[in-house]
Amino acid sequence: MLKRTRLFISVVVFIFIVLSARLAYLQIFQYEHYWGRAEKNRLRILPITAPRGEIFDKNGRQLVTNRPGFTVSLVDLGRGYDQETISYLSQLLEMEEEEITDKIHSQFYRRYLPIRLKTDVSMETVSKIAERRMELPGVLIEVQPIRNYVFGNFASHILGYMGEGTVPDWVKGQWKKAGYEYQLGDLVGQAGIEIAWEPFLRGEDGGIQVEVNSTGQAIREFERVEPKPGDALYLTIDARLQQVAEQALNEVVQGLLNEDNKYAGEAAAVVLDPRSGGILAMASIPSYDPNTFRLDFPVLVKDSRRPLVNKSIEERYSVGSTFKMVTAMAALQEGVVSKGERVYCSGTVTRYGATKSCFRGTAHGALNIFEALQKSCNIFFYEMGLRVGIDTLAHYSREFGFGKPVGLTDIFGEKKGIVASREFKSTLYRDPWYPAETMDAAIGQSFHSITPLQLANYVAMIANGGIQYRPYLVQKIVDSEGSTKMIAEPEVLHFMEVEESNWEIIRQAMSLVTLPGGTGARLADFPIRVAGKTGTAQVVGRDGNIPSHSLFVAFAPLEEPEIALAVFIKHGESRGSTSIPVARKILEEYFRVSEG
Amino acid sequence: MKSAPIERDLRKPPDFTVFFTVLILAGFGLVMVFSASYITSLESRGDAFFFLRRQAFWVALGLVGMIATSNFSYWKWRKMVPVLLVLNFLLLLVVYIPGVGMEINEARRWIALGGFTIQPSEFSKLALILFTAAFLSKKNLHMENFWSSSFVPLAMLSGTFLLILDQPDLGTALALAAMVGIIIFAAGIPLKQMMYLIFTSLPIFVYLTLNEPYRMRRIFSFLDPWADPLNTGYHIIQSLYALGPGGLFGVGLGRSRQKLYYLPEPQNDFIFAIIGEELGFLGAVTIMLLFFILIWRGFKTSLMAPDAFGSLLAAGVTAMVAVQALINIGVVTGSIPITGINLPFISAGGSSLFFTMCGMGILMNISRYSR
Repeated sequence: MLKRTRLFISVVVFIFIVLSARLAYLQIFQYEHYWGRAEKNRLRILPITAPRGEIFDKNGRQLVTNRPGFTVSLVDLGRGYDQETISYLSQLLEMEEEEITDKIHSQFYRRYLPIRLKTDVSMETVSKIAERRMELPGVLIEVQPIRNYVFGNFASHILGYMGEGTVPDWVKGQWKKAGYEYQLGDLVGQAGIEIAWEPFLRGEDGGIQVEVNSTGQAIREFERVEPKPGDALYLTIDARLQQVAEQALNEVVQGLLNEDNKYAGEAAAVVLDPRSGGILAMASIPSYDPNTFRLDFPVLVKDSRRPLVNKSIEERYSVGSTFKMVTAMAALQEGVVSKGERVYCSGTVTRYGATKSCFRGTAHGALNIFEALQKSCNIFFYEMGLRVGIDTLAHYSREFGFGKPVGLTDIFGEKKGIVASREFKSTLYRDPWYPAETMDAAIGQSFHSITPLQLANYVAMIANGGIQYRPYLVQKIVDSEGSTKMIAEPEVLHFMEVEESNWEIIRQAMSLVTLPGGTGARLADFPIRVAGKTGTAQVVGRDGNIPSHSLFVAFAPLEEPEIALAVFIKHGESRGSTSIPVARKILEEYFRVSEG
Repeated sequence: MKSAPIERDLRKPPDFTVFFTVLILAGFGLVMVFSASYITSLESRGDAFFFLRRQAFWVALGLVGMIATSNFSYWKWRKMVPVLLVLNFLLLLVVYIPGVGMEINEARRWIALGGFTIQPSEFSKLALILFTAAFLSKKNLHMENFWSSSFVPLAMLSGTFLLILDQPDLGTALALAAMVGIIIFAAGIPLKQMMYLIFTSLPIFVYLTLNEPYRMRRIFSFLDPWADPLNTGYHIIQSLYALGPGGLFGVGLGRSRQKLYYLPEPQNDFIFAIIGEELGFLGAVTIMLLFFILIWRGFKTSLMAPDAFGSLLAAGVTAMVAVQALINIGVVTGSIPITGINLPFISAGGSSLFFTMCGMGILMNISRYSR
């Protein structure tokens, strides 16, 4: 046993000597060799950016594609970065030297990846670098796909834009759930579909593993992993309808601005399919061009009309008389009015010490519910409001989807709006709720505030008889191999249970609005029966005479509704409604009715 | 045999050289684990101290274990051997239970235990060493009769070997076989039997190598890592790129470049490369010297042990450290194929650190009864 243990010791000693010799060989005799190899000839990964998924409209029309662009990058050659190269690049790329060194530092721990200094540089820049290639060690030109928004300033709030900016943590969380983990410096969607559908659109980057020589040129390629392009998205949007809506809104807004209406400038229109919740068009004015977003940004953020905000979902406005169908439904369903009962309108009414009048003091005489909606009589609806009371009114408002997001998740940022109610008032004031306020609430004034999307959803519910669908934008996802990954199915979020005959009354009343004698009589000659409702939301301003918001909601055809729409023009009342002409253009495009 | 072989009052102070060498190595491990891991840990976990804190916890636990075992009369282990052996197989089977057993990178080697993971194969090493030493030191045992002597621990080894191989963890299984083999050899197996054993196990080893294509590629890649620099040769190349530029004095503590994502998980199996890079040839050889001192003292304890059990047990736990240290350094210097064995006391690791330190405690206890 002794002998054998001694043998072990000798074996161990022998192995130790061998290993020490090996270490000495590697670290002392081969030191220069390995130092050189490790410092100069390193393996680098040159990423190949995956082409981002394209975006199409419902008819397969290309909305967003990619085009090749050049990116200037720096590769670590293992001996730091040459100051001369940095100064030269700073001049050529019009970047501060500090900006370049910051980028280098931010990637200190991932030095095997090239540092992307500037994307989408001009051909001229590329050729200047190519000419001086030998004097610019480590400078690399990569070809990367760049996002191309085919129609420029079009549907920008839906589509969004790309950038390297900060991403909120909750968005990162959502991305992670969908399988994409955000890394600092990733070029990602910053708004609209681009941010919400990032994990699907981005695809998987590929890469080439190469050995680079001392000037940063790849001398040997080891392995190449092809990128996997992102998924293509097919939207519910009809590009032509969207274009018509945007154009019509822009014309109206431009007209208002030309009339020296200093309050005007913002507008929105939402068109829904009441049979599914699919969004056919969603326009927000003013907008921006996602292609040149980075250049325009300083101007865009300073614009007081906030072009970056999607007015259709991120902004809430007074609802005005377009609210009256809520009051009508509450009164009918609660049985406090019959369809034949008439209420007398003398132009003004004094209740609970408050004197309120009809629009422009018009005396409508004795009206039933049909005529009251057709002529938008305030006196009738004050009475209805008082009969049902504020709590019931608030209940029906919520049933119609007001006061909470209607559930659009395909893009982020939907606001919930406000329903006028005792509870809401108590959060702001100590006073109790006054009956006079119920009168205001009944005609859509008071605290009510809604997003244009909520307004369109509400009209869609009237059109389809109480079904609240989840509004959606993405109809279909097709992966890079051409197979369909997902087809959106309509999702019912809520069903409002009321007598079918009451829906019928309201729909009939709305159809009278667009007939002679109605407030929307300018649509009387439209070849397809349109049910609508006008609204002028008065805005109390410090300097008194501010133009009211102009609103119009509609669905058509009356018998079997295919579209429901809401048009909102901020401070847009100017010798009558400016929103009706916009609605008309949208209807004309949808039903292919040529003008005149 | 009821009475203990030696009375308690005959005890001497333990071998403090072992104690302090282990302490220095473990302390050094703490520094190096932190140096190797803090950057990647900060980036991936947002916590630079993640591995340091975990290592510190296990070093503390290992110290408690080492002090406890050094005060636990070693011959008492003999009675616990059957229990430990059953526990060994049970733990290796627990790995298969979903929810308790943990799968990382397609390997089932771990048991999840309230935030920590335990690698049962680390326990196997100590359990089999204890069993083999106990069995082969029985009275009236004739090493000439293979079937009643060496065969029994070899059978236990085979069972354990297969379970660990199935995880799959060939490196640990082979290291375990080497440890048991050394005890059997030290116990005095006739040379003829030894030859038979070597020649019958050789085909098994060849089969295991050729069976899994990745293993064969891995085994031969160390001869020419540049033939496949991004797959099988990657670790070795990156390891050599760490050692070489380290030179005589190293690039300085904390200044390794290879730990910056070039060498994956630098705090684990390849930590010796980072030591060589940061502290140079001198630092690396110092570590090797410390291991040598430990092994030397271990074999000395084995030679001076009062009885056969103590002697074989001391040889076994010493072999445990020696086999792993030598294999690890061999792999890192590109001298032998990659096996996935970590560097005792230094590599980041929980259960491995704990059980190795317990083994050293046992060694210290045996040294108290030296002749």
